[in-house]
Amino acid sequence: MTADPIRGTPGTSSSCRGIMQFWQSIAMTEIEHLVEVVKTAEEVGFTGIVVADHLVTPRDIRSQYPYAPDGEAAWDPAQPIPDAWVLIAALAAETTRLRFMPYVYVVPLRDPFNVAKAVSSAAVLSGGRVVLGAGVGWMKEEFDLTGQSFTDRGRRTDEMIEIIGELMSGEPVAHHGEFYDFEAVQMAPAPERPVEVRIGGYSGPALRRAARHDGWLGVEHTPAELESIVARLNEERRALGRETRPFDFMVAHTPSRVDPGECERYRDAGATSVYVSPWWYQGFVAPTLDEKRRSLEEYAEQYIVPLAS
Amino acid sequence: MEFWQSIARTDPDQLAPVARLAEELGFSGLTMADHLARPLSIRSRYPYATDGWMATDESTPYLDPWILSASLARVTRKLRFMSSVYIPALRDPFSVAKAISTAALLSGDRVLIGIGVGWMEEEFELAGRPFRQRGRRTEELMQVVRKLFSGEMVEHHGEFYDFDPVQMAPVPSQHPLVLIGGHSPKALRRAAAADGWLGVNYDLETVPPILEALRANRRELGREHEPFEAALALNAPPELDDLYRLEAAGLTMIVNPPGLRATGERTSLDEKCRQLESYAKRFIEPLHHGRKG
Repeated sequence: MTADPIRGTPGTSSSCRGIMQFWQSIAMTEIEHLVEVVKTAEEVGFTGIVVADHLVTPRDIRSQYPYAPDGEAAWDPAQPIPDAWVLIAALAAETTRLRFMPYVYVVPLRDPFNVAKAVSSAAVLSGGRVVLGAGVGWMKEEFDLTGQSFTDRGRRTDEMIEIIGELMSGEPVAHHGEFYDFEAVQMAPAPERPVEVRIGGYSGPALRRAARHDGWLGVEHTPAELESIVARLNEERRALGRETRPFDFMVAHTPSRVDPGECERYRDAGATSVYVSPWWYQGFVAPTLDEKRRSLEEYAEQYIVPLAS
Repeated sequence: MEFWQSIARTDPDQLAPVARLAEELGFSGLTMADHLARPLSIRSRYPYATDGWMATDESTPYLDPWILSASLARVTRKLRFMSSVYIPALRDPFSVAKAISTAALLSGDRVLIGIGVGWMEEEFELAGRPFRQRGRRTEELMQVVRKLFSGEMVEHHGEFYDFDPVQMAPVPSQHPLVLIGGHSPKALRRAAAADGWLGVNYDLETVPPILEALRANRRELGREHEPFEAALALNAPPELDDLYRLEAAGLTMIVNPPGLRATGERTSLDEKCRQLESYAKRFIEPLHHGRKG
C-alpha cells in the first residue's frame, strides 16, 4: 500500500490527515526535572507526555525483554519509574493542554477495579487529558509479585479493558465473563468522555487488539515496516467495520542530525504521532534541566513547527 | 492540635479551590476516603455508623487517594494529605508502595498513610483479594511496603508474601507516617505500634477511653515517649471546650468531617467556602490564639 501525502493514508481519521502529533517521553527523567520539562514541552507545542510503568525491578530477570535484540532487560534498578497515574495527576495540575499516556501500562498486572479507579481518577482530575496506553506485559516475575496470572494475560487484558470501559461509564455494571464475574456495581466519579485506549506491541494478537480500540503504539520502525503495519491494522479495522473511526498510529522518533526528513517519511508511511526523548539522541550524558529545555526547544523548531501546523 | 478537613464526597471540580482555601485558613491537611466501586447491594455491615449503613450512595465520588493527593499537592504549598482510610489489602504491596512513594515524592513529603483493614467483603471479592485474615495480611503488607521504601534491593519470605530480591525506585527520603484506623483491641495494638491512630465518625464520649487504651498499649510496647499522632473525626459538632479536653487527652489532629456538611456533596462551592471560614473562625483561631497566649 502506498500512502498519499495529500489524501492521507486510507483509514486514518480525517482530522489527523497530514498533521503529526508529538509526544515527549519522560521515562527515567529525574523527579526534580519533571515539572519543568513538561511545562517546556507544553510551551513548545508537544501534544502529550508519555510515562513508563514498572512496579519494581527484580535482581534476577529470567523473562525475555522483547525490546532489546539480545532479549536482556538491562536497566539500572535505581532508575526512577514513578506510578503512572499519580505522576500524570501531578503533571496535569501543572499544565493546561498537554495530554498524558502511559507507554505502556501493564493492565493485567492489576485487577480491573484498581485500574479503572486509577485511570478515571487521573481522567477526572486532568479534565479528560489522559489516554490509556495499554500493553499485556512481558516480565513474568512482575506478575508473580502482584499475584496475577501470566499465561492468560492477553485474553485477560481484553476482558479487563472491556470491564474498565464499562466501569468508567459511571453506569451500573454487571459482568459474567471468562476471568471476571460480578453482580452490579457502580463507580464514581466517571470521566466526562470515554478514555481513549491505545495498544502497544506488534505481535499478531497485539495488532488485532489495537484494531479494536483507538490507536496503536509502535516502537522504533523503519518507514517501510511502519507502512506494512499500518496496512495490516487498516485491514483489521475494515474487517471490524471500524475504518472510519479515529485511530492513532504512533512510532518512536529517534532524531538524527543527518536526516531531518525522517519525520515526514513516518507521516507519509501512515504515522499520526511520534514520541521522542530528544536529549537521548543529541549526545547528552545526564543532561541538566537547562540542556533538556534547550533540547526540547530545538526539537520543536526543527520538527514540530514544520509538521504540526 | 492540628485541624484537618475531610474532602470525602466533595464534588471533583470543587476540590482544588477547597484545598487552596483550607490552606489559607490554617488547616493542616485534608483527609480523603477510599473505595474502588460500589456494589448496588451490600451485605457487609458498615462499622462506622450505628445503623450499619453507609451515608453515601452509588454516585458518591471516590477518587484514588494518592492520585488526588498528588494533584492537590501541586496547587498548594504546605497542606498535607491523609487517606482516611486506605485499604491496602485490596491491592498488592508493590502497587501500594509505588503509588504512595510517588505521591510522597511529588508532594514534597506531604502525605500521611491512614489505613484500615477494610470491612466490605464485596469489594475484596471484586479486587480478587482474600477477605479472611485481612488484619494480619495488612500488617505484613505494610512491612513489605516499608522494605520497598528503603530503595534497596530487598526480599521477603513471610506468611502471605514471599519474593526474591527486588528494588523500587524512586523512593522518598523518609517513610510517611502510618496511622491505623479501627477500635478493636487488635486495631489499637497495631496503632500503638505504628505512628498513630485514626478514628472516623465517633461519639465524643467514646474517645477518651480509646486514647487511654492507646496509651496503655504504647506503654506495654515501651513506646510511650515516641511521637504519636491521634486523629479523630467526630459524628457531631463539638464545642470548643471539647477540643481542649481531647487535646489534653492526647488527640493531635481533629478532622472536620463531611457529615457536618462543610465539604459534603451537593453543596455549592460558595456554601463550602462559607462553612470552612466559619469553622476556622470558631475553632482554629481561638485554639491557635489560646496556645500563643
